[in-house]
Amino acid sequence: MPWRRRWRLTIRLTVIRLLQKLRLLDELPVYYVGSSEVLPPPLSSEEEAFLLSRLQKGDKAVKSVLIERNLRLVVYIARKFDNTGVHIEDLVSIGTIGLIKAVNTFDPEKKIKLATYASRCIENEILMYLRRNNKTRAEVSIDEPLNVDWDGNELLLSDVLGTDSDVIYRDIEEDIDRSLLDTALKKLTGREKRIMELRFGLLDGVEKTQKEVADLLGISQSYISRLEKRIIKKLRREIKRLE
Amino acid sequence: MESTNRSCLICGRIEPEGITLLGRRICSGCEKLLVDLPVEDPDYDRYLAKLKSLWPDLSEERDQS
Repeated sequence: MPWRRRWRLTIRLTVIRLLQKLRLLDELPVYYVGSSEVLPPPLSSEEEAFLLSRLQKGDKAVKSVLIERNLRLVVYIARKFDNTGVHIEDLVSIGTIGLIKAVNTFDPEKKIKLATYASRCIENEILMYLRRNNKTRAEVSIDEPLNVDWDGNELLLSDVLGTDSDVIYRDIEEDIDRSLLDTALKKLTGREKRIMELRFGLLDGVEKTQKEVADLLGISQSYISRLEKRIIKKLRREIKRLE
Repeated sequence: MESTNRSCLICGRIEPEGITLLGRRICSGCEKLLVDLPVEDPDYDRYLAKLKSLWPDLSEERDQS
């Protein structure tokens, strides 16, 4: 590096350190704002080598320069992830964390350019963030508000979640009905109970016709039909009483 | 021209040690915290939100698009 440029950089760093010690750094003018077009230009190889040698000697003030002069790299890499649905200012900020990590962990002994190492760190930071977000996106809380009405009432995911025909309640109701029927059946005479068991398959699940039941019991089908109507009426009455 | 904000962008404390990025300070404590901060950390998004204030033009760019 030409001695004049080196001398100018040394002077600049000394001034920065002095102002920092005197807590007067806010008096320094800042010529750039947060936009890629006006970010400070990248360092030349000579400048970078010089600053890294200062960093190795423990001069922490050079870190600001090394980070700032690589911010264009952050914006450049962040823009590559623009189609991921993450806002650009988030991507650039994540990349900045990656760059800060890079400058703090860079080892000049490795004979690799800071920009190369920083690119990997910036990209890695963004990729790790995206991976984390994808993982989180797959998990949805049932208390997640889906919408909020004008009165501020939240519609939760759990509000719209359900099972077909309310499976749980249906099973419970079936159990209750069966228990009521069993109790009511105890009020029937032996023959009445037998007719019900055969007609509706209460014991083996096989329902028999009125004719089959009539043949089994040795009575006419018309009599079974009349008995059946009477028994069902009796059962309904009994179940109503039990409810 | 913009003047450098002396307080730390993240913790708000005024510390002489640290780094200056685009006119904003990050104290050495918060800088170290960022270096050791994994993306899985529950506080990651909080620090990220603080860092976003470094890039006001990018937020405006998004709002306009």
